[in-house]
Amino acid sequence: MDKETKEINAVHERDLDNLLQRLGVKEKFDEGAFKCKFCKEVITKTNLYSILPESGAINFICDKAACVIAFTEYTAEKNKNQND
Amino acid sequence: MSLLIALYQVFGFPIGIGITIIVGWYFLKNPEKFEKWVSMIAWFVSYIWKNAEYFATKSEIQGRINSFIAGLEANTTTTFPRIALRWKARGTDEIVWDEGQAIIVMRDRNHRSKNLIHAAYLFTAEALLKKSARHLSKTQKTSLDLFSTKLILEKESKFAVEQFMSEYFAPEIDKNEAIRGLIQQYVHIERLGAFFPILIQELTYLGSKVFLAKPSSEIIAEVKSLVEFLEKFAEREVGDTTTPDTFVGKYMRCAIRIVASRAVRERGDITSHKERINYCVQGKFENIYIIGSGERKNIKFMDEVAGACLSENEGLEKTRGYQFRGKIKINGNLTNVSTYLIHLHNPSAVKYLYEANDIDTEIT
Repeated sequence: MDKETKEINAVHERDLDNLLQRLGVKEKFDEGAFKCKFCKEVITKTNLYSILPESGAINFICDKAACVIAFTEYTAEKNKNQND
Repeated sequence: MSLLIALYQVFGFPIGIGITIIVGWYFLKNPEKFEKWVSMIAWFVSYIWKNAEYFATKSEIQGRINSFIAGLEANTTTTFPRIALRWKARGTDEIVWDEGQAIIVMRDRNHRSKNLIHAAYLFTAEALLKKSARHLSKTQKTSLDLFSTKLILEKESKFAVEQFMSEYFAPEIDKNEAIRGLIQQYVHIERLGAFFPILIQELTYLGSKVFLAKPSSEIIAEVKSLVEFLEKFAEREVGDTTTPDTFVGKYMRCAIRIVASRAVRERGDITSHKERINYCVQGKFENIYIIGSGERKNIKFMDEVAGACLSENEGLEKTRGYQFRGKIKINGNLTNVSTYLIHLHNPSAVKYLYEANDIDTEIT
């Protein structure tokens, strides 16, 4: 059987400004306009865990353990529904 | 002294070449180990040249996780995916933005454990157990993700496992009793050494099956029963013959056969063990796990039993035989023992497509 590779996309924290700039959301991000998709806490550069593009919008997830777990549960459910 | 110089002049070059070839061959066969070494060097270099941190982070995460996967594949018949970290937004590189594909944030050198935890958990949830978790409930999946990530970190980073246990694992089981109960069962199963080799293996086979009528609650209940069956088996006392050693579900059927007691082995008669396994093959069990002591004499005996079954049952496959350390219960005390496990797969018993109310009546 062929060995499959799972690519995990990552951004180094020192490239965050660059990423946000290129996504066109840096100003709003710096103003604290984005909240965690799960716990609704304001997202900052220090508590950001993940960025998820979805249906034309950009979602942010904070690095609280509960949100990291909620995020994987959410993507698993979504993949399940897509497969269905 | 001059003799040493002369010897060096004659043999130095060929020995150097030989060592280089051996080291090169070893790393070629174990690329994840090469990545681990490279990451250690890159972390040192990053004190002088900051950009080396990208390389160090990437190779450390890939090296550690892929190293665990390589070890896992040596103990199961399943092929698991490898992780590859891809940097986004480095310099002026174009950002390819895939719908639904998350980008995770990696921190600097002061947060190496956190980086590993985030990558390992995401990889476990999205790739490592993707196939096996296909038909599971949210609670079953989360408990497997947590437990598997714990196993990865336990083997690959003592610092990261400490942080993972206190920040992720403990709070999650504190707030969810169902997850706590399942984790407790996995701990018992893993103690025997059967978490990945049997439980995840069975769930992976289950993940390959297609259900036309979506009997999700039925499958979830069956997985629960499988976990209970394996836990009971793992908790049995040595010599106990009353604990069930076969699992007959609607979608999964597996049997565990213990081979052999010292008396039977010393008699050298494989007939009874062979017949019990043949009965499972004829009874359409998909997987038969032969388990026993990892002593040299017992391994030989187990191989003889498996060999006899293979020659009598066309299509039956020996997918793997391997040794590991497991814990068994003797008079209520757990004892660490060398264990040998042979996995026999019976492809003719596997059914891939299930319709509504599709009950196979061949097993009673």
